[in-house]
Amino acid sequence: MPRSVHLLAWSLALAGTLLLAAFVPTIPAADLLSALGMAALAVLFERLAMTLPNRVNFSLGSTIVFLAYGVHGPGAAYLAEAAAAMVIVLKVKKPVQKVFNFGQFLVSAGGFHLVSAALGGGPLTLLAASLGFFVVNTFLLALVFRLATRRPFRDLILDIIQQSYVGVIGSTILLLPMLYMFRSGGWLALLLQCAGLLAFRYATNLYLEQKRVHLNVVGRLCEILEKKTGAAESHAGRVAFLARTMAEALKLPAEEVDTIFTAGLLHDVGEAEIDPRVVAVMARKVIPTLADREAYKAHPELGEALVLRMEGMGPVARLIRSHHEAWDGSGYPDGLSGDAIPLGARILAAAEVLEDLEGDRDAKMTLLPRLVGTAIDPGLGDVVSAALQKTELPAARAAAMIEDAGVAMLQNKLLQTVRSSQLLKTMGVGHVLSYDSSTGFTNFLGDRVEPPAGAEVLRLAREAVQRQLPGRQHVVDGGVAYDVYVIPAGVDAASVLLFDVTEALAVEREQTRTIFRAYRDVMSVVTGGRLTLIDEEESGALLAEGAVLGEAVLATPNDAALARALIEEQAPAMGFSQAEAFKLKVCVSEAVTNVFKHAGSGHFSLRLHDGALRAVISDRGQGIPYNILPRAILLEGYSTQKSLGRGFSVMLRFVDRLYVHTAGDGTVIVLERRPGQAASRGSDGPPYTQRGELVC
Amino acid sequence: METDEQVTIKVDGELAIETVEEFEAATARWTGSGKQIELDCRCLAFIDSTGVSGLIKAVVRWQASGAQVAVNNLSDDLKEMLGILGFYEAISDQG
Repeated sequence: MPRSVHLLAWSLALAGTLLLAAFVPTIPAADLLSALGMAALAVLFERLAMTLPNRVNFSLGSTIVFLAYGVHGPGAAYLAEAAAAMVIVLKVKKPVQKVFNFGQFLVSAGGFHLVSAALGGGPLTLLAASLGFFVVNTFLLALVFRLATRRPFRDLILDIIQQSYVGVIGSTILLLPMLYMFRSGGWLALLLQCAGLLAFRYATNLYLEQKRVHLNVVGRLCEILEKKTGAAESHAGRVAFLARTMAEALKLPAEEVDTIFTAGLLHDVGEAEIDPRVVAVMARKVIPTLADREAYKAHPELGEALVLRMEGMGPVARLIRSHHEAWDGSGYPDGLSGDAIPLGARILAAAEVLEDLEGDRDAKMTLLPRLVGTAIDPGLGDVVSAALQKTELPAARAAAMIEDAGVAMLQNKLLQTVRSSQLLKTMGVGHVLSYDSSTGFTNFLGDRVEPPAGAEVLRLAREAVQRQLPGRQHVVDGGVAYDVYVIPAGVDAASVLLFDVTEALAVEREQTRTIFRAYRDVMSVVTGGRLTLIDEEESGALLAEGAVLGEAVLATPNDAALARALIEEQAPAMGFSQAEAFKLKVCVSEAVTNVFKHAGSGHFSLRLHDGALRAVISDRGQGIPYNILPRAILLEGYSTQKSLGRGFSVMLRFVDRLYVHTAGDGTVIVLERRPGQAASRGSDGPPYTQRGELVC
Repeated sequence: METDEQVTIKVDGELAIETVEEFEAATARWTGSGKQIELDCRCLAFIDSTGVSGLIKAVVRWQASGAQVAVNNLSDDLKEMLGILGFYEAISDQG
């Protein structure tokens, strides 16, 4: 801390002490008790200072000081000010700050005293005198900051006025009614008025606390959602913070600032209803396909619909809908332009664009001018720059450096993996082309060429050039599959890369088949041929066989009873004994229950094929991943849900054949049983009934 | 049927995914009542693993609260199914 700051602090403290020593003894003995009461009141109000939503500190300590002056003269005012100053002195940590604050408040009270004496007293002159207090206070604060930070004096004055004008107006306005109440009703009237003010303070504080908790909860829920959907971590929080900074800089009303902040936290909530793969692609900022980009564009409207279901959130929902609109009309979902986009949405859009820009703060500052007037409202240019200046604290930069070091190590490991990948060896660049909107496609020799799947690649290139954004698409031409990337290279041109991925896809398909066959063989052997894993084609063939005896849609758990009733109805006529029918019902009930537990809904049909009863249970769920299939089917007691996990082992015990087809778009289970077969497998049954342990 | 010392609960119909919640809610009220509990399954026509899971939960809860529990009048089919689905094993685990 510069020596000059110490000098200023001690000078002010000395001046304050002299003022105290000169005027406190002038308090008439009859007024002393009342003056001490006002000092106590000043301490109380100073201790109950509030922080308003715009982070301005507000207390009524000064009002009581001015009141003491109006009622008992300068001595009482200095006494009250010294008492109120002690609250601050005890709160701050640094000794020099304690000394400065003590002197600062007493000398500011001196400013009040001086103006009041010069104007000759009277209630209205107290208003002018209170301004005298704030002028001196502002000057002293600016002076100490100037000595400590070397910031321009004018900027400091403006900052302090901006921070304190609400408090100045509040304490000045309350002074006259307080003075009037005291003069007409004495201490009782004053205390009643203070009680009213404290009740108001309590209610306001409660509201502010509720609001803080509400916004915190929304923020934490958004972080959870981001983790679930694979979106960029803390993206919503950063956008909300940037948007609030801009809204505050524009001096928007506090309610509107809150709406914008809340909309910032929730702006991507619609991603919850979009394919997580698409969200992850967009979050990783890899080049998305046209289909991915189109799918992602639904999230503002989906988000609006979700938030509209919450009471009182209409204004927030409207901003969420429009947060991807662009000033020049190139945004979505409504293609609005200019002032037709709500101001809050323009602010959110600017925050989103800023957050999505690559690079550090300096790089973003360089890119910013290009976006103002296209994506960003030109009227927001200054506040966007100012908000950007406030981002990236030193700690964030340090974290980024540590992250960079980690990334370098990971890159080396990744490179080793890439070099050893069999799949990547099958990939190669099919074509490298240039695109120009006037001449079309040319190869590296400059000859005009027609790319494979010409119409689709042309559409992709045109869109990339028009939007000045890279694009990606999978196309097929004459049995060859290409992964196409288009990267804009200037106003009317783009580079086009077509990777031939035909062989890679074939390798992937073969690998999937190999894995499927391995699982099928193992499961067939372990179950003595009773369980057969079938592929889509085999499943289709199986379902085409036989005659349908009855069907039931499995929409709610109550429909499980319909499926069992069909067995009860048909089994006796086919020659099944009552005990056999009972066991078949159990098997069907297990398979149907799995549908409700894992897929939500499905379909049941009962078929007759070659003298055997076939119960077919299908659903459109996410299927059973191959890696958990053996455990899910073969191990008793294994369950991904909180259940007994014995459903499949019961089915395997009581049916002749169990066919399972499972893929990412659903599962089909076929239970086959002929009447009059051997009884169920008992304790001498298959070697796969040990709980949690596979015995081969 | 309920006396000061004993309660008999009659189970009627099918105990599976669509009825198990109702069964659990209905049986929960005697937990901690300190009475001997008899579950009369004469009219229980069907049970699967979800139903057995609900049955185990109820019996284990009663036993944990100090009640003596008896499950009576099971048909042969039901007895066999309870055995296969580990009902007796589960309740004896609880002592």
